[in-house]
Parts: sequence; structure tokens; C-alpha cells
Amino acid sequence: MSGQAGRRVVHLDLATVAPFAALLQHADRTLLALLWWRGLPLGSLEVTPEQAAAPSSLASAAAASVAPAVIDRLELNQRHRWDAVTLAGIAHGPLLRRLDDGSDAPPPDLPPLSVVVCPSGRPEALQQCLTALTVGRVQPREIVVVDDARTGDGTSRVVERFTGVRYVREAQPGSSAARNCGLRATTGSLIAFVDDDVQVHPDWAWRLLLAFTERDVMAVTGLVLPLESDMPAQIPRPSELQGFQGGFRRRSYDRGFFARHRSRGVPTWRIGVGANMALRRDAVAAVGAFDERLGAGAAGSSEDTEFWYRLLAAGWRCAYEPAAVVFRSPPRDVVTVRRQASAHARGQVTAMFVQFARHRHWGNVRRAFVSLPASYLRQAPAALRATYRRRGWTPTRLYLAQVSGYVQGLHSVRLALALPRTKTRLGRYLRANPYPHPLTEGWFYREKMRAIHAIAPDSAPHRALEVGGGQSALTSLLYPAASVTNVDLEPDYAVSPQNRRLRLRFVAADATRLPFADSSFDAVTLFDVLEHIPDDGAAVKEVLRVLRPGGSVLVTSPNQRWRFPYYRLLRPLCPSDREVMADWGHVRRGYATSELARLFDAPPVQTAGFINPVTAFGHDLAFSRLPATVRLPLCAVTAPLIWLVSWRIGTTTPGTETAWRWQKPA
Amino acid sequence: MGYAIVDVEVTAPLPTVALAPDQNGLALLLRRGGRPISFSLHELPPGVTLTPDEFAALLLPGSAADVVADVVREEIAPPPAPPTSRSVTIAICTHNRSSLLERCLASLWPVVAGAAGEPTVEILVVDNAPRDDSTAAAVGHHPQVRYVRESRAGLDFARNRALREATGDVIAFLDDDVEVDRGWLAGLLEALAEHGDAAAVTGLVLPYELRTAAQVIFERRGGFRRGCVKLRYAGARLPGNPLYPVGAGIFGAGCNMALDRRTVLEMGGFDEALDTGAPLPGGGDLDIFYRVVRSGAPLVYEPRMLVFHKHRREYEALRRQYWTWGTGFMAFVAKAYGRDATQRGKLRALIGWWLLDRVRELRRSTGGPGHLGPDLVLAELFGGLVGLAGTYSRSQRRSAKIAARAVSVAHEHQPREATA
Repeated sequence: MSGQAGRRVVHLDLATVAPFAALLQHADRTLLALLWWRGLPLGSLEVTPEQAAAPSSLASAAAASVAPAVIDRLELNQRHRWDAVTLAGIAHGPLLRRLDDGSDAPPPDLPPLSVVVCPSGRPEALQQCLTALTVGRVQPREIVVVDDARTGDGTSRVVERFTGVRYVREAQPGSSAARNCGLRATTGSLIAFVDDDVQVHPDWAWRLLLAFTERDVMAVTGLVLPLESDMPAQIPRPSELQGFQGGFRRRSYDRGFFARHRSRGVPTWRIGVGANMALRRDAVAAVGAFDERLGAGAAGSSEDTEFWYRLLAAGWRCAYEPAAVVFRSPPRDVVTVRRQASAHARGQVTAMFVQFARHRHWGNVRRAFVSLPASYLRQAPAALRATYRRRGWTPTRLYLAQVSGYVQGLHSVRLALALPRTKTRLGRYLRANPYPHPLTEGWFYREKMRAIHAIAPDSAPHRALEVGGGQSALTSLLYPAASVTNVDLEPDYAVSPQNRRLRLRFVAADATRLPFADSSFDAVTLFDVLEHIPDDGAAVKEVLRVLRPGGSVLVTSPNQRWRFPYYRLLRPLCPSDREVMADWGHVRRGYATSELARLFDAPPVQTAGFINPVTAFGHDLAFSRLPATVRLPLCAVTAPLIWLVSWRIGTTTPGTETAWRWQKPA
Repeated sequence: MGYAIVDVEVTAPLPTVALAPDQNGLALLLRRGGRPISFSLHELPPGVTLTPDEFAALLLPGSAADVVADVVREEIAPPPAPPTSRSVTIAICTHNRSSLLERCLASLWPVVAGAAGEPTVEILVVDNAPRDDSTAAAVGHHPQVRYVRESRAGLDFARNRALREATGDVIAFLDDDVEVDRGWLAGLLEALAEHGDAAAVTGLVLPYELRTAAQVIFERRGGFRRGCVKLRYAGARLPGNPLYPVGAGIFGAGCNMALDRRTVLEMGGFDEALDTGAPLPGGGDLDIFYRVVRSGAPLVYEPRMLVFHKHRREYEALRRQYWTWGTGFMAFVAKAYGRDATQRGKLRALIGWWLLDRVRELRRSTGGPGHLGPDLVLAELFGGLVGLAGTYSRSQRRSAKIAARAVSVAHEHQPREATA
């Protein structure tokens, strides 16, 4: 049967004279023709030997295949311009030649690109990969090859042959660890990751860089095409395994895409493949690095999709730019394909569990336990039938490899039960209000917690330091998965139940002389502390010292508008301003944003006001001299009103107190 | 309620389009340089008027890719192939429908006249078991047309007669209920020039009118359309289509096909047990396409070879038509299953797919005006089941009897039909 002859991948440049004549040279088997216009990939065409000799019908089919990509490239699909003039402009042609106008060369003012080459232990492939990287039309500013424990010294010997390529060794195996190591080893703001078995197209770097033009695009993926080669018949079509499915049109994945799919599990694997992707360094600051439990060498190959999931969940955008092409030889043997399919299925499920743990999006659970098994069941008859037809076991074994990968992935279900690596959801956080009467007297405290929640970054820090946390443990409530160190001057607090929580360590120390190494925390919180500390400048210096670059500082304090009681009318019922401050141990009234900005030597990245004028009334009542028997019922009466108004106002009003967030420069 | 059919040349300024009050939609045929490049259906409020810009906004989202594809095709197309030397006979098989036939012939004149100097073109009308002389009379007006009478009732008897009577190398069959487009013959000659080895050419079939609900329903379901991309079917496999070549519906429709006369005669011509009228009114075109492709000869689809088919206006006739398609299709499948042992696996898969697809369609059928009604789906499904249940072998016996009777009658007193 001619179906057993396998297929051949051929690259055709439509800009050449008689492009289809080349197909006749290989017309002994089915051809997969990839259609280019000079450096732009536009479409593909499968051609049987019997069709190869008829260039007119090939031209017609090829034109139909490239039309969507041509529309994209010429930006003809802008809805606001769909009128008769547009149509006339298209209909008279030519169009392919217009692709050359202006956009076929790199623009002069591109930002620099750092490239991280991830390992697989194939020195000969690496040699070709680095060669391709160093002959592109736009040179990367730096190239780092990350080597892991799996390979011998072949890698370092290859790297030595290239000047300007750095070699870094990562002791921990797994592609996530390697990628993270690459992130640390590079300095650029845009970092591309390529596998060492790919070869980049000469236009790859600048096409990739151009895709970052819009500010909210945090990650870009590109097209992976098979190199010109023959493929044995048993190997499935390359489109199924090689990231080819991204197609030849640009795509953008944003919060709308995420929201549409959230309840059924977001198919982030549509965004692209990790063998050809790039991201902003800011993305790592925003949502954290690659999850080292995932990725090749660990759970499977889903560290990239899980990272994109976090980006989309946080409202950022991912873009797919098919013109950023890398080539990869199609897998040579069935065993490799099976192994890849299995790892892919395993990683996919594991990533779903991790995503559920992080975000509590039930769509992941649904996909892992309902949609995926259902789709495997649906595929079963086809796999078995294919085997029956071809009298061979290849399709069935490939199918079984996927299913077994899926089942192995299910073993990591415990990851789904892990604490979320994000901040606690607002409702749950507020319910943990440590104040004894949270719904009446403690309303103002709820508001403080709301403000803190509003400015706190989404992804949990690994290690957090709470300065002056006392007995309230606000930080560990906010980030249950973080290891929190609580520093307070008062050693007696160590025995309080809040300070004996899991993942919480109490240290009695002075905020101006913190007993920790430099850069040892990912986040520091100072909730109502600075106004107690006489030498606040020293305390801030210490905080910035122990914080890692890129880490966050959360501060709350009264601001310049704070006074007690807020309503002069209540003065007879309340202690004086001075008395209260002395009682609470405040050494100053509070901070205007500008004062704190001077201490931190930078403006805050985010602020939220709280204790708005309405809440201030409850605040006044709560600290009035009224006996508890009067005060509590009074609070209970006023609380719903305060609740209603505060809910309307939210954290947008300035308020008399403020929550700030600073970020230490990376 | 019907649809207006608008024929638009995209390189010319767009027209203003106004729907009549009884039209609630628009069937839009786009051409570029006369070549059909896109056909789409749009539901619109009755009586609406579209300015050129509104018209562009309606057609561009769906059809921009088709326009771009044709521009690109022109840019990358090879230089025109040298004209074919094969002569063409246009054969129209008709049965008691002289007014339709006249309309068909009327559309042919300018086409044939425009092709003067091209290889010789002959027009042949096969009058199949006529009730009266109206067809002969209608043809009598036209000296260029050769008239042949085939008294054995059955479309494939008529087609085989045409094969024998024709003189051209290629015989293009038209049904009497079509009207050819002005580029039809040029399309056929282009396909023959580009594919010197083509044993069959099929073309695009679009609706002649969409006046009644029945016609709109049929066209919305896809009608006879096979797209606007040139295709070449050859060899044993087609990437992406596991049912090729047994799923013969993709190749085209019998109302607009051209065949290499010698090749088809060598294959034994059309199967006279198919397309017999009442008992088994269909399947002959599927069967001939399938046999051509299975013989290894290429079958070419050329959108420029365009005809407009007058669909059944009455709903009842449409339902009957669906029944017919079901029967004809399954009779073809049953025949192929008996004759072509190597394709049995695919044929089984085809039957499974077809039944499943009908069930799916039935499930969707209550989903609103965009879908085929359950009665039509059931008509096709039952037709298919009947077609599977021995219809073909019954029809074979019946057509053998007709043939035998006709032979004996001919020996007694059959004058040779007049030819013009």
C-alpha cells in the first residue's frame, strides 16, 4: 500500500519561479509542503504523488491555504475597514508582493534579546542550534546554555567553540530548573527559551522581539516546523506532536480567552510549545518562575503551559507569532514518539492539579477527571480500528502510551490538595479576622484587611518576613503556603497560638537590626509597625537589605489625615488623640505617601486607602470610653450601615490610613 | 420566502443590493475576472437595501479569504497550459421537459459561439422515452443540435446512448434542468488543458433560483456545491480523507460532468441498473466517478465549469429527492461492495459514517430553521436503508429485462431516429 511509504517534508518558497516544480523531484511519496513567502511561513499542503504533476490545482489549493495568513500579515482583517474600498484594494492584487513592503527587514531600534538554550544531552544538535543562533539577522545580546546533571561534558566542549556563548551548570535536573537557572544567569528584559534540538530561522529573533511591542504581552510563542526530511510511515503526522497546530496566523490569548474556558479548564497548550517561547522578565516578577515540579525530567512537559496559565489568570496576555520559526527534525522512531506522548499526557494532568492548587479553578479538576478521560475513551475505538486496519500495533501502543501517561499523572493528585500558592481569596481572608468582634467593632479591621488584600501580589512568596506581626499573623493568613517569619520585640508573643502555626516561625528581634542574611526573603510586611519605631529609616534599610531583588514590601500605617476621634462630635465620649497614641505606642501620627517614598527611595507601586470617613465613625466608637455594654450594641447598629457604604466605596477613597506596596528593583 | 441571488464581480465597483419584500436572504456569488471564487448565503431582513459599503461589510468577513486566495492563486499559478486538442461533445439527456431543455440550450449558444476556433464542439440531445414530440420540436428549431431518441426509459440508458452517438473525445453531460455559466466551456477546456490525463472533469453547481423555502433549505445544507478550489483526485489515497475514494459524493454531481469518452466506453459505460427512474432514481454519477478514480485515471474538479441548477421548488418534491439520494447512494455502495472486494473495509466505514451522520443530523433537525427538518432526514435515512436492502440487484434484473425487451422491439419495427 502506498500509505506505507511514509512522507517527506518539503519547504517551498512561493516567491521562486515555478515553485511547485520542486515537488516532482520527490514525488515518490506523500509530501508535506510547507509554503513560504521568503522568510514568512504562510501555510501547508499535503500532496500525493498523483497530484504533484498538476501545478495549477496545486496553486489553487496552496492559495486557499495561505490566504488567511496573508490577510493577517497585510492586516486586511480590521473590522473597521471592511468597506467597498478595502475590497477593491484586495481584489486587484497583487498581494504576495505587498508582503515585502517594509516589514521584511528588522527595524533598527529593537530591544536586546537574551537566549537560554535548554538541555537534552545531544551535543551534536546543540552545535547546530548555536550555529543557527549566531548567524541570525539580529544577534541575541547574550546566549546562555544551561547544562544539567544528565549530560556528560560534551555540552561544555561544544559551547567552548562559540565565543560569546556562556555555559551554566544547574545541579537540579528537570527543564523547569534549567529554565529558572537560565533566568538567573541572564540579565536582559526579554528572554527566549529554545530547546537544543531546534534550529532558529534567520528572522526568528527579530520577529519574536516585534511580538512584544504591546506592553501587556508577557509571553510569546512561535512556530515549530519540521526540517526538510523523510519520515517513516509509522510516525504520526508532524502536526500532531510538533506544535505545528498553532497554524500560520497570529493569535493572542488574553483574559477573555481565559474567562471563556475557565469553568472547563483553560486549554493553555494551544498557546504554543516550550521549545520556542520567550517572556518578559517582568512576567517572572509578576507571577513567579517556572514550577520545578513540572517540566521534562520532572512530572512531564507542562511547565510552559502552567506558566502561561498563571500569566493569563493574572490578566496578562500571551501572543503567538508564527513568523518566529524554529526548525526541529521530526522524531525518527516510534519509541521516541511514544515517550513524548506519554510525558505530555502526564505533564498535562499534573499541571492541572498544580493549577487547581494555586488558583482553585475547578475547571482544572473537571478537565482532569471528566473531559480528559472522556476524550481518551472516545479515541479508543479509532486507535483500535487503525491497528486492525494496518495490521500493526503502532496506533494502539501510541494510544496506550498516552493513557498510561495520563494515569501516571493522576498519581500527582496530592499536588491539587497542596495549599494555594496565591494569596487567600478575599472572603476567606476576611473571615479569619483576628479581631474579637469582626462584624461590629472589628469592622475597621476588616477594612484594613481588604486594603492589604488589594495591594498584595497574587502569587505567594516562598519566604515572607512579617515585621511586628504581634499575635495577628496577618501575613500567614494571606499566604498560607508561604513560610512566614514573624519578628517582634516582645518575646512573650512566641507562645501565642497564632505564632505556633505550621509554616510560621517567631523570632524576637529589633526591626532595626534584623538577624537575617541579605536577600533572604521574597516579601516583607510591615503592618502598623513603622509608626511605632523611632528610627524608621534604619528599619526600612534593614527591610530592604533582607529582601531579595524584585521582592515586595507591604506597609500599612495611618496617614496624614488620621486623627482621633475623627468626628469632633464624639470628642466627649473618646480619649484624646495624644492619649490613644501613647496607649498604642505610636511615636508619630503616621505617614504621607511622600514621606514614606523618601524612606524607601522610590514611589510605591500600589496604594489602597482605608478607614474611610464612614468607617472612621465605627473606629471612633470602638475606641471610645463607652462601657462595652453600650459600645457593642451601638456598633452592631451602625455596622450594617458602615458595611453598606464601605462596600460601595471600596478601597478607592484615600481614607485616614493607607496600605502601600513597594517593589525592590530587580 | 426566498433568497435573492447576486452575482458580483469583485474587481468592479460593488452594486447596491435591494431585496424584494418576499426575500429574506441573499445568495452571493463572487467572481474575480469572471471566475467563481466564493458562494455564500446570508440571512437578512426582508426588503432591506444594502449600500456598496454595507454590502462589503456583509461579504468581507466570510469571503475575504476567498478573494485573497484567488489573487494569490493568480500570482503563483503556472503559465497557462497549451490548449487541449480533445474535441468536446455536449450531451443533454432529457425526459419530457422541453421547456427546461430550451432554457438549457439557450444558455449554451453564447458559450459555444464564444468558443469558435477552439476544438470542435458538438451538441447532442438524447430524448429519453418521450411521451410526445415536444422535445423533438424544441430541438428542431436549432440546426446545430443533433437529436437522438432513446426509447428505453432510464437516465443511464440515455447516457450510454450518448456515449455511443457522440463524436467528441470528451463528452460533457448536462442535465436538462441546468443553465450553463458563460465561463462553463472555457472552464472545461482549461481543466482539460491543465490535466491532459484527466478522465473526468466535474464542475461547480450553484442554484439557478432560490424562490421557495424548499430550494433555500436544500442550498443551505450545502446543495451540490463542492467549493471554489481546483482539485485533482488521483491515486489510492487522499490526505485527510480516510473514506476516499469510496465516499464518491465529494467528486461532483452528474448534472455537470465531463468524461473521456473512450475511457468510459472501455470501462463499459454507465451502469444501467442505476438512475432508472422510479425504482432506483440515482447513484449513476457516483458509480461512474468511483469507477474512474478506481481505474487510476485522474478526476478533476474545476470550479470555473459552472452551471446553475434549478432545484425542486415544492417541499414534497424535495423530500422525494432526499429519499432518492439515500437510495441512490446506498445502491452505489451496495454495488461497490459486491464488485470491489479491496475497498470493503472503507465501504463498511462509509456506511457507518453515513448512518451516524444521519442520526446526528436527526438530532440537530429540531434545532431551528438552519437545519434540515426531521422529515427530510428520515426520508434520506429510509431511502438509504432501502438502498442497502437489495434494491440494486432488483434494479439490475429489471433493467436487464428492459434492455432485452427493447432489443426485441428494435428488431421488429424501430426506425432510426432523425438526426439534425
